[in-house]
Amino acid sequence: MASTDEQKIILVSSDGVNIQTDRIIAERSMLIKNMIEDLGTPGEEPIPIMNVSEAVLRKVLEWCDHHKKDPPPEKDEDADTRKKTTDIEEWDQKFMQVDQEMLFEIILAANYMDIKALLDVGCKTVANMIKGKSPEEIRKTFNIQNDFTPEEEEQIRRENEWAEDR
Amino acid sequence: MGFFKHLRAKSHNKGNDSSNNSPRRSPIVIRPGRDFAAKLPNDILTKIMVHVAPHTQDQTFEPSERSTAGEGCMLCDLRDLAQAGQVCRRWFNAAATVLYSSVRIDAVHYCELEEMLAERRQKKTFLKAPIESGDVPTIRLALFSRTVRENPNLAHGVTMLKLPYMTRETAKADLARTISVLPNLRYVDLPDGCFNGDPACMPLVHELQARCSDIRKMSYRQGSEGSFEQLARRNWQSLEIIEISGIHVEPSTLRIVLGSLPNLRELTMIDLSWLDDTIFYQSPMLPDFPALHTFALENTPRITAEGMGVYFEKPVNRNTLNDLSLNGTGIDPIDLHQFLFDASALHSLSIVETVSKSLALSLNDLPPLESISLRVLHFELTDSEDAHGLQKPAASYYAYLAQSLHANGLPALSQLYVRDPDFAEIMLLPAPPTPFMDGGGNQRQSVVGAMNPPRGLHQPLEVFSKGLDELEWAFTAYQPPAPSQGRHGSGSSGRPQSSYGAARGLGPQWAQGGFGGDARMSVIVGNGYGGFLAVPQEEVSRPRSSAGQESRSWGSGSSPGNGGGALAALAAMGTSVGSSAGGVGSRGSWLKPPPKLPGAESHGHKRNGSRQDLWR
Repeated sequence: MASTDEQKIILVSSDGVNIQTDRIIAERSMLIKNMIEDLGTPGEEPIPIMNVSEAVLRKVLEWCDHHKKDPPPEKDEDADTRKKTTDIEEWDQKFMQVDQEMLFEIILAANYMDIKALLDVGCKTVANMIKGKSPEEIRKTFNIQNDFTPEEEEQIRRENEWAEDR
Repeated sequence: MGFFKHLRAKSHNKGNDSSNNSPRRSPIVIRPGRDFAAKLPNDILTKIMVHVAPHTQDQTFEPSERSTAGEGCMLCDLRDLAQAGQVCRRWFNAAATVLYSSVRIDAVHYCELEEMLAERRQKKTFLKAPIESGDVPTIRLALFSRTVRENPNLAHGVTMLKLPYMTRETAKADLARTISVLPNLRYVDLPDGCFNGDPACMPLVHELQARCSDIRKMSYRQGSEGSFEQLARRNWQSLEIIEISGIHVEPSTLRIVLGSLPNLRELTMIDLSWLDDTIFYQSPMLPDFPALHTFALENTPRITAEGMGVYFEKPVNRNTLNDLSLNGTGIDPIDLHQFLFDASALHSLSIVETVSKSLALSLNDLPPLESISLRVLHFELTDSEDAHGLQKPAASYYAYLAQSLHANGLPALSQLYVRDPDFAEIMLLPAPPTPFMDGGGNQRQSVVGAMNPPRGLHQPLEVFSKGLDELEWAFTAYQPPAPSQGRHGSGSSGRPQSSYGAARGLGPQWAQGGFGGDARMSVIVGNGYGGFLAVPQEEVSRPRSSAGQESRSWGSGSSPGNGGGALAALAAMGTSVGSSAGGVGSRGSWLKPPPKLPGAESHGHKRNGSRQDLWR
């Protein structure tokens, strides 16, 4: 039996494409890791990744490949998010330079496949796109429809006044 | 407002030039038309909001000045989060849950924006009186108060409220009005008067007692005896952390109050000269002293080891206490053994004392410190001022500690803090042959001893040492010898040594000869430039095992010179060579100080700055 490092497994994307990858790469995803443990026969049966299309799955696996040697995530989540603020390492920044559709697809895939570190990178990227912008600028950036009535908008502005610069 | 926006935009462009994470330089292509963010589930949207303002995740019950997190500007983050909440309804819900949970009002921006804002405040003179920069957080608090008073939905989410020191001292009325509508508040920064019974703060305290039943932390200082006794009325049943300092109450009152708090897990007692061992005794009339996770005693001279022994007699106490801190108590460090082994859940122990009597004569008769759970030990003993003569008493206590370590009394210990710059040297001396076994009657010895190989230290240990006049901890990594390596001479069996430096710090050729070979003839010292020099042993002699044997009663019976592992230099990447220059000269020690070399002093140490140094 091959060692865990060299084992190959096959993933099936939502559009029916088979993608072969190393087990160690795929196991960055807790979803896949748990599936492999449940199945017990890694490599033999293709693993369906229901909600993720081929393009996104390949992109996610590219991230997993680069991060396959990372230490496993720590339990202490709170301390983690507090310390790291919004710093993103350089490779991840480049990795996230994709169009918005792909960016949000990656975030959704990371959430579905349970890859906490990738989800964090995605959320931080979006957070950085929000920072320093007025509400109108944010709407433009993400093509968001303003669904407040003028009264509601005024009320929320008033409620949040304590947080404004002064 | 337009002018203001202009300023803000300018400042952000400026900041972004130097930052790689800049949102504006982000080359993400925006396709017109589709709102891809709409696909995100609510919990991910909330997660994104958290990343906009990471400080909102602060759940520590520490005042604002001691709980700054991260490097960003918290006021900028706060503003950005508030702006994000004004984008659309869905985003409002996500942002509001983050914005109105752990609330933190800061005095100033920690970025260049503050300068511009300060300028703008001064320019307002034409229409309005200029605003003092000190008033800004007070204005923020008043506005926040207005919001939570008008919108109970937002108010109910708030669990923490942190304010700058000046604001909480001056805006007591605003603070009282605010907390009166925050029923789920767990922690709020209060003015000092609330902790010492200042009448001016009593309305605030009463408001807190009446409205905020979920408060988790409270302090009681001299003058607050009245409020302390009111605790027994069960207003704050969720209290987890209590600090008592300098108050005068009947011991029975103390027991009743503490007994009335079902969730108490952390207790600090400072400056209580009246407090004695009887506080731990069981009594049919009073609730038992509570079982705590963290227990700190400071300047309580009448608490002795006997009392702690009584405390640990109860299984629930010994299975609960993780962290014990003793500073200026009546507990002599050599009496720690009386209860240390019983404290079976204790992970961290700190003892800070001054000692005036040397242990030299009784050293071999003392039972060792033993604990199978202890991971972090602060053993910070210093000589008291009235200790004269060459024999420094603290040194004998450190020898006692070293003996305990050699006897494997503390097998789980991974971090040790000592106030003796030479402690790493002590650990390099040979382990005594059979300490603590002379008496023969100690049964505990067999318990811990049986689980481990008999002699020497067998776990990796990080030793942090600090001289009397030093500010930072010097760090030494200590590695036990690998058990399977058979190259050591018989004389060295179990001898503590670092195998870390030679092979890994200097390269494989140093390891080739083994410690018993040619490499053994050199001592590695820092050259002051980050590298290491090999100094032939003929030129400078270092304390060797034989030196220890002559001056100490614990020298091993086996041949010392041949000891393969005798002086493993701790010259390793990032670790210090044991030659600590600072305290050597000042102490007439029974240990020979390591030789001093010009340039080798102090440069060899890697200083690990304490956390306080990073504090802003």
